[in-house]
Amino acid sequence: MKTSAVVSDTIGPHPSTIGEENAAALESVRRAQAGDVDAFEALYRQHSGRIYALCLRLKAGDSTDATELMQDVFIRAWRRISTFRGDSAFGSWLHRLAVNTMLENARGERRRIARVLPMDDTSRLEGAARSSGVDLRMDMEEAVASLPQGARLAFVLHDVEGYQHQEIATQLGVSVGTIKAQLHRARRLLRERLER
Amino acid sequence: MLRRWLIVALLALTFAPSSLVAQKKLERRLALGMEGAIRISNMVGSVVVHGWNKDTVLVRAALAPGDQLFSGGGYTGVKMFVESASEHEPKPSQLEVWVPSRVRLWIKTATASIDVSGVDGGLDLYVVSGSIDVAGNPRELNAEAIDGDIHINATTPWVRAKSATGTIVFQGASADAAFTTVSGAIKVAGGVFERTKIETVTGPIIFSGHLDRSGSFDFDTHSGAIDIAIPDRTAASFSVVSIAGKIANSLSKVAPVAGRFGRGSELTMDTRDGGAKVTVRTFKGTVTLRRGG
Amino acid sequence: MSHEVIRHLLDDYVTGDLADDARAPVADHVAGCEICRAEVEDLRRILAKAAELPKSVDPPPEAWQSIRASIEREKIAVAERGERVASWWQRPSVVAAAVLLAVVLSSAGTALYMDRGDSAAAGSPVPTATTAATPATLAAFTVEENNYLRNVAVLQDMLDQQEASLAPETVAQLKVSLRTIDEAILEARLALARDPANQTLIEMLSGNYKQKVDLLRRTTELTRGS
Repeated sequence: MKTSAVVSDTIGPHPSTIGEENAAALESVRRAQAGDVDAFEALYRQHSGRIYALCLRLKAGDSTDATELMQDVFIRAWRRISTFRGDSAFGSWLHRLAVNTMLENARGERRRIARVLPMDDTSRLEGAARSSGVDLRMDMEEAVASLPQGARLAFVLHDVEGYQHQEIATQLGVSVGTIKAQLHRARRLLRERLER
Repeated sequence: MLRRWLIVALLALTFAPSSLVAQKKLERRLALGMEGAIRISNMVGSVVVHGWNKDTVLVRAALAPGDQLFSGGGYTGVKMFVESASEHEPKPSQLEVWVPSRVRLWIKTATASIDVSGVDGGLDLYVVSGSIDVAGNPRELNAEAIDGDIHINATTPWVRAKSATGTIVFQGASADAAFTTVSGAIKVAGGVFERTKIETVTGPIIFSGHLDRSGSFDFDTHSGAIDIAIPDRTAASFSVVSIAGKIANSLSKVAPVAGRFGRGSELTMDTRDGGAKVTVRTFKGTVTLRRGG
Repeated sequence: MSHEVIRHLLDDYVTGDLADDARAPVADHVAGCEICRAEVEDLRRILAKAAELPKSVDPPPEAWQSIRASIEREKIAVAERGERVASWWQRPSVVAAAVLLAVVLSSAGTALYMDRGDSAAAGSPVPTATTAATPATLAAFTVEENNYLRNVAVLQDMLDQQEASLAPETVAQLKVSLRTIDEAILEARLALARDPANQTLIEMLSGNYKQKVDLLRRTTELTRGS
């Protein structure tokens, strides 16, 4: 996995105010809203690394699924860019769109049983996108990828991406208690699997 | 049991008009304790629930072609839901369910109507545009709709009902009640109310009920008309403010006065030396206070 | 607090989500308990590893091409239809476009619009008929108004993204309802501008905002699929 130069050192997509997002990026948004595909490509170049990393982890390391999800997210973003009101950072808006897109696609694919019942489905060990890298990080990515879906979602969104419990609960449509339980489970499972 | 159902189903098919689409009928039982919880989900069609005295759930379903009924759980919790053959154009399926009367009941539909009677536990009922009908004595009741109408004929210590465009009708008694709509009408009649909050934006509010001496009652609209009819011997303190509308009072000889800067109206008065605290606030709705049954 | 109780608090303890008065007893226990200390260390280690994971990963270089192709196709389709693909949301004109706020669900904002908190799923209702106290002054209300606007923005975003789940008739009714609330908000705000000390108006406006947030929240929850 090649890491891009854009690595935020704050945990999570704490949205910056418009003042912090640079003027050029805002200009790209405005032009994209007016239909300029090249401007949208500039936005893609700026944000795709972040979104792809999220998609990869939401899809348990499967790079094909993650790429498809990311493409879906950006196509939706293009369609809905006129709804972006500029009252949050564009990156955060995109990030939320990614989580929502994943949830909506999952609804279409899987049986509803997984959404009606508590989020404790079976775990699956997926092939992960791997390249040479520090062993420690590979183990962690692998372990996260091996978590059951519900636990993985909660862990990625809270402990990796830095969303608050309440935000995750609202987006996933469950209670804060469920999120905390999934987090607890994720961390315990990771603890076991990293020891191996 | 199954054979009897088959015969009934065959007979139904024989006599049914040819335009009726054949539905699959089925029946299931699950064990569920009196203190348990049950979640039911059916997007289109109907969900009818009766409370009974057994620690069993019985469901009789008439499913649209291709639909499936999933159910599962244990003695403390049961889930059942209808999965549509077609997500984009779901066809109606009917569920009729008997549940232990004291369970906690949670139902979610989209356009399917919900009808619950005889369940004394807690009720959580959610529709988008279906209707919700509740009868009985639930321990607590939460009913939410977007377009749907909500009819409650119940005595319940705690009730919340919300709809945006649907009508809410409550007949019964409650200690802690709150009803909210945007444009739907809210009609509340009946028994003892201790704490009530009724609010709309443009929907009319029609209240005719007993106000408990120690209670507090809030009526809020933006432009919805508010009509409050109180029984003769009620002791209450009224504080009515309309920013730009009129107040008509036939409960006492006190006349409304002009509001701030001479606009709108305000009325402060007590009947029978005061008691129940009634607060009415509207931006420009008309307020009518009168005698009721 | 017993060991059994404390074991369940360790997650919140490590992430700093424990209430102030609970921190000290937990810290004391952890200091003297091997099992809990090991668990706390492991939790910290895991969270540290999570933080070290790269926040950005380059996607396959060819990914953009197919996105671009889809976009170009849609542009042609849109041009042929002669309309711009716009959001089906009604944008309220009430809110000045100059409101540029960080979209963080502040705890105050969350408390205001999630008046049932996470008891909604647990099923036990909060036993009061009203929610948080309404602000006493215009200054306090302005702070709250900003919270409401933030929450409205987040919820509208989510609903935008769920549009496929709503039937067209419901969408139409929802738009009407939101417009109704927005008109009420506008009228009340105009009146408040003329009479800023009017406590009743402040409360009414606060109530209208709560209604809007509540309607958006309820719709989001109801329509996110069963």
